Amino acid sequence: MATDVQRRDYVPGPAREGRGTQLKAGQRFPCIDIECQQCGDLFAFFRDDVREYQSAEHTSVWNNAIFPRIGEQFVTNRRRPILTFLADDTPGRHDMLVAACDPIRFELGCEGWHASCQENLEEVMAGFGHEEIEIPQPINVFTNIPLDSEGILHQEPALTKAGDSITLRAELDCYVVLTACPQDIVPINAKNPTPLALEIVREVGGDGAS
Amino acid sequence: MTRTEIPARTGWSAALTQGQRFRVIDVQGGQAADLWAFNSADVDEFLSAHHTRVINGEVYPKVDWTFYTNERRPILEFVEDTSPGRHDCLAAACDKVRYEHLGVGSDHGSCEENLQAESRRHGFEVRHAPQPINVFANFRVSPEGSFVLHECVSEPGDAATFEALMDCIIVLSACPQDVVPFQPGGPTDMAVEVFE
Repeated sequence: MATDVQRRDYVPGPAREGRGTQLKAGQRFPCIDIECQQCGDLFAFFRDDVREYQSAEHTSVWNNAIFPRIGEQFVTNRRRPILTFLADDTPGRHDMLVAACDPIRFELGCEGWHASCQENLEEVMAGFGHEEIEIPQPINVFTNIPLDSEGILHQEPALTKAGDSITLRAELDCYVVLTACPQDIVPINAKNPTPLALEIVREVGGDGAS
Repeated sequence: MTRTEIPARTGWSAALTQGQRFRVIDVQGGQAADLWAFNSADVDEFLSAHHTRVINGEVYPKVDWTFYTNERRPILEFVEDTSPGRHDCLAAACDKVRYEHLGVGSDHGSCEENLQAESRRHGFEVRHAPQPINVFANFRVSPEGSFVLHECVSEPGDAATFEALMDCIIVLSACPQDVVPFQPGGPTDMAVEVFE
């Protein structure tokens, strides 16, 4: 039996960078906006087969909803729950419609190399030994891209304040990656990329659980 | 021009060259087709709804849309539409697991399996279907953010025409969905016309 004693491992994510962790099914993890108005691209891959991952398009059909909502689950491309959205201490704006930024995105708008969420994701997953991954549609946490009745997407600055967070729970053993979006050309991060953090909550004690 | 009938519930594919057009026809009306496109020279590059949505800044496919790949390169253009203009690029393709969950077992055909069979004809394997363009699928997001699978409103003979912007392999699947009732006449035939 787990006790109510918790251990919290804090994983700071510097501005423009990505961080990841391996989670066991049942573990909770808050995602935190440290300063304010910072979007995060969140990805989850099944640990035993990273070709199975959180899929926005399967999740939308699963929940009959296009934006993440508390209490709902995110499912994989095999339609298995991989994350549950437990709590939301933000203004409630998150996105699942917009692709991760990538090097090609920034070739269109700036000179030289620019960090991107896709490269951040690839770097973190390579660190876990997975050099070749598919790039899923992310869950864009804290991302304020409302969809109007005509189907137009409006890329607006994030509404989060310092310390705002959401909490999710892993439903499968998985890798979770959160990248602090380096986008500074369109205004989603108020043109000022800042840090995010992950926190991993572990129940301590009981029958040997660490 | 070559016209091919696509029997209900089945798939079709062809390798097109840049500039070729193809017309997707809803023969009896009320039928959706899943559409995919893969770069012929590198099938790891394919039409990506995720990238297309953000580049176009909107989510409902319509005439004059360019569709982009996961490398943000143009792959298809939507050039003509005689239907009421309801198309989707938000809902995943149906697959074996979807029908298991819907209670009709794993022998029910699916768009993903149609895609997998068609891709093998061109010498490559697709493990998971990319997000398709769901031609004639009348799926809409409500003001509250609900995702609603409304019935198709296409009528017999309605057609959507696309142009290949690179050499690509096109796959179509006449969606076999007969449990969730968005195809009012049940799964019916499609046709495709390919222009030289």
